[in-house]
Parts: sequence; structure tokens; C-alpha cells
Amino acid sequence: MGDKRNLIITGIGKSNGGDVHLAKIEGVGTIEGDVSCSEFKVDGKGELQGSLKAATAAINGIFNIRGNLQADQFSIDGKMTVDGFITGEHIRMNGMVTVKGGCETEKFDANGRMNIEMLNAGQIKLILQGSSSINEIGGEEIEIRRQPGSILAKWLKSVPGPFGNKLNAGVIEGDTIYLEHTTADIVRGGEVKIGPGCTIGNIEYKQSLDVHSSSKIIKHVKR
Amino acid sequence: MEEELISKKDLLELTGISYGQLYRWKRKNLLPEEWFIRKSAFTGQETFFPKQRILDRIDKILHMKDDLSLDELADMFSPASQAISIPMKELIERNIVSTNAAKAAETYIGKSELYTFEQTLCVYILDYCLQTGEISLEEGRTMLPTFLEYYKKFKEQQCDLILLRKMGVSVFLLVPAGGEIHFESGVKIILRVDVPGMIEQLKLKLIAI
Repeated sequence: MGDKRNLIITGIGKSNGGDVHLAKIEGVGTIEGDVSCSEFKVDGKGELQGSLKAATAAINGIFNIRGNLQADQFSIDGKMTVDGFITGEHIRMNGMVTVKGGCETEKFDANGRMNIEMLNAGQIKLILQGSSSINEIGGEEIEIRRQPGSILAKWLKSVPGPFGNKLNAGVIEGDTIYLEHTTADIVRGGEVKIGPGCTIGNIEYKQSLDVHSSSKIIKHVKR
Repeated sequence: MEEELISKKDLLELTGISYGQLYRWKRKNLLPEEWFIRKSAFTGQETFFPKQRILDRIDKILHMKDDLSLDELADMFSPASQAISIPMKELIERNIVSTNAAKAAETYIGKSELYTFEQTLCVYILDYCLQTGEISLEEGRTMLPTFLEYYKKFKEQQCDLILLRKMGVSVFLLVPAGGEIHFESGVKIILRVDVPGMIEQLKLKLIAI
């Protein structure tokens, strides 16, 4: 690693990418190719037109990536759009994230508004702020909660419209599942616990099912 | 080639694994993405799998996961070649390839002591073809250079090896795996070798010492 160079954009700049040790954007930067590095950092606004492969990546600000993103440790605070897939070991997201492909990781910790096509993770912890939509969720432990005690959220809820903290999902499948304020077509799992504010079309469960009184379940089957 | 499909629900019930395990194996690349066939059913979206292939795979994973880590298993199932070299003597002693096949291959691969994975695969497939009794040693000799030269061009993509015969003339082809091909009348497909399947078999044999 010692002989690899760094790619640093400070201020406003452009680069072609490449195989480097540290890649860093401070300010506004565009990288027009693929980047492979051990550490990737954005503070400000970044755009990557290729794919990223990194051991660790941390984004603070706005980041758009056209290709795929692969990072063992990944964290974002801000807003991000990924056109391809995200793969990693531990992914932490805080803010507004759109992933057009899928997301595969061992640990997924998110807080905010997530728009993801497919999420596959061992441990999923999602705290909803705003309206999220994930088409397919699969994993071992899935926990989806609403951000508690936010005054702003309560105030927003009194206004009709697309506000409120909620999740729209197609299929949710996992071993242990806990959901709050989620609308889903199908939930399948071992131990399923449905918290407040859910609307679920069909639940299939193996061991147990527990439903909060404010949630609507159209059909449920024990298998 | 219409394959029989099995829904995810039935698969989990049949094999006794959980959703979590299935997703974990998919993440670890033990189950290829192409096997996840999404279809809309009356209950909403359902995922289906090619029944025979997924059952075989799950059976293998369940049997071997105590001995090997998931990453080692993924390596075994991936069609990528392993970076290993094996002495030919050992291959014969361990009955992975027959002496005949090894002798025939020697002229093309060279009389090296150590064989790379690709070279071993080549001998292994030759051996398999000879064992079926469908090809002669002579034909096997023409197959070797074809395979050695063009197999690499498929890279990550998987391929099938096909032997055709018309009026006693034999032709070897390498085509993308599972692809459909049609011929004029009089052409007979003598053999179709599923190369990724052979890779998996070979890796399994190499691991089992």
C-alpha cells in the first residue's frame, strides 16, 4: 500500500480515478472513471461516473455514483444516489439514499429516507424518517422502527400528504422480523412481530406472530 | 430445455432451511443470481428456482458447511479457476484422472510436473469424455487443443463443450452454457459436457484429500 499514490481533490476539480491508496474529495469533485482504493472520503459534493471499490468509505455531503459501490465499511451522512449495486460488510446510512440496484451486506444500519430496489443483509436496522420504499427485503434479523418522539414528525402527520415516517415494501422475508409503520404486500418469516401503524397484505410465519392493535393484516397463515 | 421450477416457500419447507440462511448464502455467492427467477403469482411476487440444481446445491452446502467455511464453499462453487497447481502423479494416484487421459494430454499440455487448474480441468474433461465411451482417443486428441485455446475466452461466462458427428466426421464446439443451438438434419449431438458442473466436481475431488 505504501507505494500507491493519493487522489485528492480540494476545491473544485476533476480526476480520472484509478488505483490509489487514499481518494478524497473536499469541496466539489467529479471522478470520471473507476476508483479502487483503501480509503475513500467525500466532504462536500462528489460524483463518481464509474464504480468504487474501497476498504472503507465515508461520505459527508452529497454523493452520486453511476456504477457499483463496494466497501467493507461504508458510512454516509447526507444524500446519495447509487445507480448500481452496493456490497459491503457493514453499511451505515444516515440521510436520504437511493439505490437503483440492490444492497448486500452483513450489517445494515440506516436512519432516514431509503429508496432501495433490493436489500439483502444479515442484520437490518432501519429507522424511518420520511417516506422510504424498498421493494424486497431479506435477511436474518429485520427491525424497522419509526424515529421516536420527533415533534416535527408529529406536526407533519397532522397535514395530509406524502409526509410521515413510513415504509412501503413489496416483500419482506427474514428469520425474526419487527415492523412499525410499514405497508407491505407480503411478510414471511419465523418470528414475526408487527408493531403500530402497519398494513400488511399477507403474513406467513413459522413460530410466532404478534400484531399491534392499530395494524391491519388482511390475511395470515401459520406454516 | 424447460426446467422444473420450485417456489421459495416449497424449497424452504423441503430443505428445512430458513429465509435468513437462504439470503446469507446468496450474499456469499453460494447461490448464483441467475437462479433467482422472479415471477408474479396470485399471492404477489414469488421467487422460483430451478428445482434440481438448487436442491443439489443446498444438499452439498448442508453436507459440507461443517468442514468448510462459507467463503471456501463459495470458492468451490464459483466457475472461476483456482490458483493451484497439482502434480500429475497425484491426480492419477488419487484416481481423479485415468492414466490414458493423462498420457493423451501430455503431448498437448507438455510434460510438466505441475499442472495448473485449467490444465487439470482439461484432462479431467477428456477423461470424462473417454469414460462415456462416446469418443475415441483420437477424437480426444483433437478436443484438447480446442478446449485449451478457447476455454479462456469465456472468462467468467460459463460454457458447454459439445461434440457433433455427421457422416462419421466429428466436430467439437464450445458454446455459452445452456444456449440453444440447432443443426441441419443428419447432425448428431454425441456429447454435451456441462463445463461449470465439471469444474464443481473437480474442485470437490481436489478438496477431498
